[in-house]
Amino acid sequence: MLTLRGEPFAGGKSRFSDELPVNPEVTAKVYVRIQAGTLLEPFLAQLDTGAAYSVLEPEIVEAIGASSDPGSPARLSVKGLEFDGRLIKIPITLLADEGVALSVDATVFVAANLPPGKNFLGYTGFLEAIRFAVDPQKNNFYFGPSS
Amino acid sequence: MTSKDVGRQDEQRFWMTMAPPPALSGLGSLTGNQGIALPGIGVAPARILQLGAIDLSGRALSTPRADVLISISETAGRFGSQNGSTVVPRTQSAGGQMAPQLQIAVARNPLNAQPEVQVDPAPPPDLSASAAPYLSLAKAMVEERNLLTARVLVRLALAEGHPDPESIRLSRIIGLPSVVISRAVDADRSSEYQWLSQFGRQHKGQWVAVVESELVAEAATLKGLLTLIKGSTGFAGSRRPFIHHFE
Repeated sequence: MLTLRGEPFAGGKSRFSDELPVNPEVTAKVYVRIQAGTLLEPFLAQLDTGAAYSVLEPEIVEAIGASSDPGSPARLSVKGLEFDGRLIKIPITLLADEGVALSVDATVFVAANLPPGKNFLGYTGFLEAIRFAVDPQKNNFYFGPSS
Repeated sequence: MTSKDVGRQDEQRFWMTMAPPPALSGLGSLTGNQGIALPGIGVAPARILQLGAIDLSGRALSTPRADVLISISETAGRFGSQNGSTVVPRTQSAGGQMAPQLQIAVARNPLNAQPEVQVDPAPPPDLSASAAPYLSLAKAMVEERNLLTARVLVRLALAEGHPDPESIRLSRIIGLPSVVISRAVDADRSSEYQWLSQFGRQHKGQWVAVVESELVAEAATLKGLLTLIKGSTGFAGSRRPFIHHFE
């Protein structure tokens, strides 16, 4: 798929969306397609290297049966608002249009009162474990396991 | 081994305010379940009152209340105590060679305005709030969103020799994620993305399930949506519906 100095870099590729309708951001973002836990239906999550943690919205956490996981207490600030929640492990799969998908045993922040429609893939606990590259002109997202 | 062996980029430093304030002479080491170990003195029981991380520029050193400064760094070396620092083994490689070690050094905060107070060994202080300082520090670091530091502290807790279930559990939660190639298959969803952009405004506040350019289900809750599409098959290209929640 992608090589770096002759060595495999990424084995999967997917097209990403750079905007979400209804509540558009001022600037373009990178929304990649994922599966979470036992939920087979794919959905979008924003790639955010600046996010403290990965985040899944409460209804998705409930759908995959992780609402009762005690995890470890944690706090997260979203747009100036503080949310008390917890960190738990959830397998998140980056889906591929071409090549192979990648499943990450991610550390995810969950809180019952998080605003809806907010799913993020953050650096710590997710992106730090993979290799990835973005082709912004073609909206392609490349990913593979970190060697 | 000297401090020259330690790369600054691998160093984690903390400050702690403890009760009673430990009297430190030179370097000591933080023990996992008792307090501060001082060379030639023994263990000074202490309870953590306040803690925080120190960035590598030392800016947080301006806090005068900190009693002790703790430096934890990764380096190569053997288990033991050297120059007032404790070296804790992390892992042993399959080839029998020692992997990088964690080196811990404790020093008195030079900016602490409090006078030194000798530790009174009797009666022993209540250590229930800090039965495992590493674990307590790790949890505090998690709450402060400093996962990288928390990982180091959990490794220290596990290296104590008697890893408790809570340390093991926290280690699993905050540890570096494992990654595996998945057999999950999907297809280009450009058609679904286009549908979201084109029709999203008509479904504000709803969960939708879309296959290619067709809306297959809509509900106010994800639970309701999944009930509607449960067991549904035969979608175009054998693909599962793509779901989205419009704010």
